[in-house]
Amino acid sequence: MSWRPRIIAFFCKWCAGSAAETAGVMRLRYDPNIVPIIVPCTGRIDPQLVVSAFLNGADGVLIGGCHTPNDCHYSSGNFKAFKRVYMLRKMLAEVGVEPERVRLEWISATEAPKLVRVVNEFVEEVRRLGPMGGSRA
Amino acid sequence: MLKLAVIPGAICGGCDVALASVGEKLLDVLKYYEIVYWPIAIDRKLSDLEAVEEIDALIYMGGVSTSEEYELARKLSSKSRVKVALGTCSVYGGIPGLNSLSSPLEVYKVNMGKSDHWIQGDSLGLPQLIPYMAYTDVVEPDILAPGCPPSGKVLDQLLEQLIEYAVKGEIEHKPILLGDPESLCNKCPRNPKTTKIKMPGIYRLHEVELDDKKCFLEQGILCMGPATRNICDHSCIKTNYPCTGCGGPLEWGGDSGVSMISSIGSILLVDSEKSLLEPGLTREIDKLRDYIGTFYRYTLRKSMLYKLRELKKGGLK
Ligand code: SF4
Ligand code: SF4
Ligand code: SF4
Ligand code: FES
Repeated sequence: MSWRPRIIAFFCKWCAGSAAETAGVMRLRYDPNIVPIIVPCTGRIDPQLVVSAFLNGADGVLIGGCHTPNDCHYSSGNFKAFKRVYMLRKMLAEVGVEPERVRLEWISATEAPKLVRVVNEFVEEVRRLGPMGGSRA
Repeated sequence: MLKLAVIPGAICGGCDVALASVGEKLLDVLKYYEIVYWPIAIDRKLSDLEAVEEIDALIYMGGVSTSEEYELARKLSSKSRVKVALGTCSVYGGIPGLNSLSSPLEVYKVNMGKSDHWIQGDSLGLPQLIPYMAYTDVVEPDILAPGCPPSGKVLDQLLEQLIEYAVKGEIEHKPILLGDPESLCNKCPRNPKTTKIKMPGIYRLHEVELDDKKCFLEQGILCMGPATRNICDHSCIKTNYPCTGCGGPLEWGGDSGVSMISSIGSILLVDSEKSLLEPGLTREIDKLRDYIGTFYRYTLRKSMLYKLRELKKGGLK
């Protein structure tokens, strides 16, 4: 009832991160259950960070980076992220954790409205999945 | 004389044989220790060991899978000064740790079919199967000696530690994880060194004509080297077989599975990402089957993914 999903969002500084800032400037509202963490590039996100987020209380992890094939500021960090997230989701499924709890999206600096839509959709999805920790309120 | 006891828990026998095969080097240890229990080597009953008041060094091999092993591991450990987890089962749960994804009853049914001895266990006075654990889930050992079975290198280091303890009377920087603190790739004879490792795709062993000088990953064959501690000086790799990860993660508390998918992410098809795009990369990655059995073959029980599963089930605070 009063449970609110806790969501960690890793946004790369150059695209999704700027979009989040723009959303602020444009006064677009997005769900406050999300804690954004700005990283230099999605290629920097070790799958271990995602799993640690869950083990430390997150119910969902959203990753936002630059569009493929050519927008990543470091050329191809986004492809690294894509492969890692793809494998991590498979791994989660094998131990009975819904892969939908991890979502990867490409969001350019100019796509603040997309960012808002993705965040809101994801919060809704995680709310539907319920808390990560079984009975935790 | 100090007292040394060697306890076989849920073992396949490999660790026991590996320790016995150390041969003459054991004699150096026997200058300081008297073996009070070791079923494969000396004729002593468990009741004799139970009568011993204090054990100086206890080596526990294998995991913990029955109520009897659990009691034994706890009781004996509580009267032991130095506790050693010997072998990957003992340290990380090992291959039987893959059982952790099923209940004891499910595991039993797979192995025993219709026989119902386990169910009757109680009334027959047989030990009960319990959810499988590593020895390190029951106590906190002072020395961790991984390997399935542990290599000569790890066993030598273990004997040195035991002698050092006998001489100094204490163990510093506990827990000590034996093996060398580096990944297998670090000193691998196949490491290309001057160029970055690139993985051309994902293949199974029979699909490739193996070049016995070239890094396995560069031939598209999974090798757990980047995520595995050097416990063995590349014993599998030297026989032209890729590392499957029996040494466990680089550090105690590390995690080999997620580290390995991180590595694969960095090197898989790096030259053609921009032409293959997401669908092309997905097609290649989809050749991977059984992530847990591949990336956590030996260490699932102590892994982050296992903790996550427990959390999901509501069993972790
Ligand atoms: S670590 Fe390997 S050799 Fe030792 S008991 Fe376990 S399965 Fe057997
Ligand atoms: S991946 Fe395997 S073969 Fe390649 S350098 Fe590392 S340990 Fe050696
Ligand atoms: S190469 Fe890997 S699997 Fe083989 S003994 Fe060494 S750590 Fe174990
Ligand atoms: S900088 Fe945005 S994904 Fe690399």
